[in-house]
Amino acid sequence: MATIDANKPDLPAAGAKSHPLYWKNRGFAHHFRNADEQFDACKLGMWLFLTTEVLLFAGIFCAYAIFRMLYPEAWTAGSHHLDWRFGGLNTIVLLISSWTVASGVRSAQLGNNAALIRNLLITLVCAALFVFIKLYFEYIPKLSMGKAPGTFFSYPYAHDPHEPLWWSVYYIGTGIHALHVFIGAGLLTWVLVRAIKYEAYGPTEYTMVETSALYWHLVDLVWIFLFPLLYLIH
Amino acid sequence: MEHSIDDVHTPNPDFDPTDPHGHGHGHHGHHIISARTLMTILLILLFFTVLTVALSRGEVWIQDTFHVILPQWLNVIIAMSIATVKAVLVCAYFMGLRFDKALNSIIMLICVAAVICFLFFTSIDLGNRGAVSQLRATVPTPGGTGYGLDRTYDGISTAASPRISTSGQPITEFRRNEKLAQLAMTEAAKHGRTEPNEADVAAGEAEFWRYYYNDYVKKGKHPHRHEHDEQNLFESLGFAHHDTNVIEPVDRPDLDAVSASSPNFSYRRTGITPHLLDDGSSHDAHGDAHAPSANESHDATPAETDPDH
Amino acid sequence: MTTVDTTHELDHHDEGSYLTPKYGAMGTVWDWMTTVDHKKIGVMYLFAVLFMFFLGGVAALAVRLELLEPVRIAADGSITGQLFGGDGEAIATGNQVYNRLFTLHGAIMVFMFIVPSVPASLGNFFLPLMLGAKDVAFPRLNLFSWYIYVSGSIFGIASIVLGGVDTGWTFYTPYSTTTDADHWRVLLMVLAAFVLGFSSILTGLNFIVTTHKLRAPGMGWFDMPLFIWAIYATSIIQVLATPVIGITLLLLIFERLFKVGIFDPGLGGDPVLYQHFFWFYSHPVVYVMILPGMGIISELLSVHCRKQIFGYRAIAFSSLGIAAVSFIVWGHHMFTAMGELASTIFSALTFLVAIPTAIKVFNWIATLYKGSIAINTPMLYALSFLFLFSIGGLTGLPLGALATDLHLHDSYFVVAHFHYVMMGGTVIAFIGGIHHWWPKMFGRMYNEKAGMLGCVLVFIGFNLTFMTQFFLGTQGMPRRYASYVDEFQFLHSLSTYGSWFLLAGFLTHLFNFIHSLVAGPKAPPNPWGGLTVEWETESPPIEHNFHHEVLVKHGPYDFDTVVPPHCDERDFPLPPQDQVRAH
Repeated sequence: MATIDANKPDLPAAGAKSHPLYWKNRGFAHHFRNADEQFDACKLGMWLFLTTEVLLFAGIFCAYAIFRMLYPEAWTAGSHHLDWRFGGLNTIVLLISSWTVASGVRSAQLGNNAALIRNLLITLVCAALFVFIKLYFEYIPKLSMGKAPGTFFSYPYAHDPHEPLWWSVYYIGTGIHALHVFIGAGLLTWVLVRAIKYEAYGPTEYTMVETSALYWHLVDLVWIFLFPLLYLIH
Repeated sequence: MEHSIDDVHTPNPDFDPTDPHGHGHGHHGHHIISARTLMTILLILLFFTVLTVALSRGEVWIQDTFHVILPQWLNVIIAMSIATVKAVLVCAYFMGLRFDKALNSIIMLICVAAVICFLFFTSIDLGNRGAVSQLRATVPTPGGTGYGLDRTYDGISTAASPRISTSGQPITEFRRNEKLAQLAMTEAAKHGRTEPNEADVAAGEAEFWRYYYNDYVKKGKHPHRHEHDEQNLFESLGFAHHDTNVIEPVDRPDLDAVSASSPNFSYRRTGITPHLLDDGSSHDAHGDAHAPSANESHDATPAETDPDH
Repeated sequence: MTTVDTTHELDHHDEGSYLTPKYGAMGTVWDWMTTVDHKKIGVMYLFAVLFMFFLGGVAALAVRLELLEPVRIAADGSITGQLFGGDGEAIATGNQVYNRLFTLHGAIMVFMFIVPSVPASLGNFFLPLMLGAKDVAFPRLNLFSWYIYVSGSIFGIASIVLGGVDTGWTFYTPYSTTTDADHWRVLLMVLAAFVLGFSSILTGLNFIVTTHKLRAPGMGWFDMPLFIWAIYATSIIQVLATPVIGITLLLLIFERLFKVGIFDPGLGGDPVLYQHFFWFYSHPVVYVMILPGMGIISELLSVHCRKQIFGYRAIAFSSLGIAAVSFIVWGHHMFTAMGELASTIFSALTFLVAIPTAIKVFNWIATLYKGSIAINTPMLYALSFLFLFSIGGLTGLPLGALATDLHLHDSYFVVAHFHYVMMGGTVIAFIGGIHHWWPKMFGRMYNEKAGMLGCVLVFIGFNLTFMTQFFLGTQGMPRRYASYVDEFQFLHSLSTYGSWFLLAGFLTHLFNFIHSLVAGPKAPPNPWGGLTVEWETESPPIEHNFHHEVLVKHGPYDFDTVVPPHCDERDFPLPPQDQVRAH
C-alpha cells in the first residue's frame, strides 16, 4: 500500500482529521463484503499464524522435555546456574507489557489515541527492559564464564556431562523467544508510528493494533512456560 | 443465542433488533474489555508468578529442612499447572478469546492438541527404549564421546564452531581436564619447571577445588544456592565441607538417596570429577571405558571400577 | 436454472480476461511480478512447479539410467555399467554422484514440486473461483508466499549448482551434520526446505481464512466442492505441521554451524530425536501431497461421469479424518530406530489411516456406478488414479505392520509404495486436474487424442517402472544403492525402460499443452458441463473473476436436476425428473 505523507502540501488543508489514513476514512479491501468481515478474517489469520508459532516453540519444548526426561541431573545442575530473580523480574516485565498492550487495544477501541500511544510506549519500554535484563544479567555473564552451548562450552566446573545440552536448549529457547520479542516490538513500533503520525486507529479501524497485540501476547505466553521450566527446576 | 421479545423492550444499548445475533455490528459491537477486568487479570497473573516462585522455593526449603528428596514430577506438575492457568487467563482476557468467536478458541485448542501429540508420542519412544526388550535400550556414554567434533575436512573451513579433540571424553570432562592441566602448568611455572610433576598436578587440583569452593561457592558467585546440594556434592566427592584441604574419600552409602531422586533413566550423580580421587594416573583419556550406566556406580573406589589400577 | 443472481450488478462487464496484457512488454512483466491476483499467482506457481518437476524428473531418469545395468569389474580391472564417473574413475566417485542425484531428485520433488504442486497452483487458481470469491483473503500475503517459494527454490538450485548434497531428502543426522562440511551446499539445501516451509504455511493460512470468510452467499459448508474440502484439510496440516519442520531445520542449521549437540551423540544428543522431529512434519505432509489429489479426483469423477458424487459428506469428513490421523502415525517411518513399545503403538495407529482412505476409494467407485462415463483425458487420469492409488494404499499395509516392515524397510518395496502413492496418486491427479481445468485457466482446448495417448503412455510407463520395484524390494534389493547383484538386472532394466515410457508420456503432454496455447481452439466457458462455481465465469476468467456477485442456489454435483451454466440442455440432457431421487 502506498503510504501517504501527512506533511505533503498537496493534501487538503483540513489537517490530520481529513487524512486518508485517519481511522474514520479507512475502507476495506474489494474482495471483502464489509469492514467487519475483513477484521474477522485478519484476526482469524493472526490466530492461525499464532498456532504456527506455538508449534514452532513446541519443537524446543519437545527437545527440552526429552532431554530433561533422559538427563534430569543435567537439567537440575544447569538450572542452578540461572537466577530465578532475573527470570521472575522478566516475567513481571512481560506481564505488565501484556497488560499495557491489551489496554492499548482498549484505547484504540474507545478512540483514545493518546492512551493508545502511551500504552504502546510503555510496552516498548518493557520490551527493551526485557532484552536488557536478558543480555546484561544473563547472556553476557554466562557466556563470559564459558557456559555456552555445545562445543562452545568451556566452563570447567560442570557437574554433569550433559550440561552443554542444557545450555543448547536454554540458548535456543530463550534466543528464539528473544527474536520474537524483537519481531513483536517491531510490529508495535510500526503501530505506534502510525498512531502518532496519522491517528490511524480508532473504534472502526484497529485491526493492526489487535493483531500486533495478539502477537505480543504470544511472546508473553511462551515466556510463561519457559520461565518455570528453565528457572525453577531443583 | 435467542433473544426474547422482552429484550427489545429492555433498553439494552448493545442490542440491535435488526441484527439479533450481532453479526452485522460495526466495530463498536466488538467487546471492549473493561480496564478494571484487565487490571484484575494482571494482578492475578502477578500473583500466580509469585506463587509459582514461592512454591518452587518452598520445595527447596522442604528438601533442605527435612532432608528429603521430592520427586521431579512434583515440581513439573505444580509449575506447569500454574503456567497453564496463567496462559488460559492471558488467552481468555488479554487476547480476548472469551469474548471472541468460538472459531479462534477452537483453532487454539486444535493447536494445543497437536502439541500434546507431538510431546506425548515422542516421549513414548525416547522414554521407553528398553521397555520391551533390552536390545533396544540406549546406554549412551554420558555427555557423549566427542566423536566427530575434531573432524578435519580438506579445503575451506566453514564450520563456525570450535573444532576440538576431546579424545573420547565428554566435553565437560575435557574442559575440566584442560583447566586442571592449565593449573598444573601454573604450579610448575612457580617452581621453575617446564613440565608439571605429580606434586604440581596435585597442587593444581587443590587450587581447582580451593577456587571453586572458597572463591566461588562461598562468596556466592556460584548460583548453586541449595545448601544440601553443596554438601552432598562435596561429600560425595570426598570433601568434608568444613575443610577443603583434606582429600579423603567418604564412604556414604546413604548417597543412594540422591540417585533415587532421579527416574530410572538417570545414572548416579557423579559430582564434578568422577576420577579425580583416583590415584595420580587416573586421568586416562578413555572416558568411555568408564561410561557409567544406569546400574553402575562411579563413586566406587578405583579398584572396583577399573581393574587396571 | 442458473446460479447467477443478477440483482447485484457489478461494474465488471468491460473487463477482459486476466491474461490480457494491459501494458507494454516490460509493463506486463512488471504487472505479473507485482500482481496480487490469485489467478496470476496460481499460473506462476503452475509453471514453477512444472519446471521443478522437470528438474527432478531429469534426476530420476539419470538415476534409472545408472541402474540399467549393475556395476561390474572385469578380470582385467575395467569397470562397466557405471554411468557416473566413467571407466577410469573409482567406483566410489560414481557412487557419490549417484547419492547426490537421488538426493536432489527427492529434495526437489518433495519440497519444490509435490508439496506446493496442487494447493499452490490449482488451489490458488480455483479455490477463490470455486467459492465464488473475488480473491483469496490476503492477496498480498499470497504474493509474498510466492516470492518466498521462489527464493527457497533459488537456494535449492544454488545448492545443486554448487555440486549437490548427498544426505537423502530427509536430511537425517549425522549425514546432514557431517558430510560436505567444507561447502555450504547442505546448509543451502536445508535453508531452502526451511524457507519453502514458510511459503507452505502462508498459503495454507490464506486458504483456511478464505474458506471460512469468503464463501459466496448461499454456499454452506456442505455446498462446497470436495476439492475445497480437500484443500481445506490440506491447509490445516500445512499450518499445524510445517512450523515443526521449521524448528527442526533451524536446529539442524545450528547443529551444523555451531555443533549445539541436540542431535549429535558425540555431545550427548540423540539423532533419533531428529527423526521424530522430522517425521512429525513429514508424515502429515504426505497427506499434504495426496489430499489435494483426492480432491481433484472427486471433481473429475463426478463431472466426467455426470453423476452426483456418492457419499459427499463421507468424502468431506474423511479428508478431515485423514488430516487428524496424520498427526499420530509418524512413527511408522522409523520402526527400525524406535523402541518396541512405541513401534507397536505407532503400528496400531497407522492402520487408522486406512479407514478414511478406503471410504474415499469406495465412494469414488460407487460414483462411477451407472454414471455416463466420458472417455477423455481427465477421466482416464481419474481411473488411473483409482487403480494406482489403490495399489499404493494397499502396499502401505505391510509397511505399517511392524513385523513385515522390519523386513521391507529401506528396500525397493518402500520406493515402489510411495511412488505409487505420490506419483500414481498425486502426480496423476495433478495432471488430470490440469487437463480438466486447462480450458478454464487459459481459454484454449487441448487435443483430446494427444492427451489420451499421453495418459496411456504414462500409465504403462509408470507401472513398468514401479511395479517391478515391488518385486525387487521383496527379493531384497535395498534402496539408495548405485549397483546391485546380477540377479536383479532383468527387473531393474524393465524399470528403466518404463521410465522412458514415462518420459514419452510427459513429453506428449508438454507438446500438447504448448500446441494448445499456440493454436488450440478457443474454449467455451463450460466445456465439461461442470456445476461448480468456476464454470460460471468466462474462460479464461475475467480480472475480478465474476461479472456478478455469485449467489449459489444448487449443490456442486446436482447433475440430475440442474442444466450446467453456459451449456445447452441438448449437450447435457437431464434425466426424466420423475426418476430423480431427492438428494
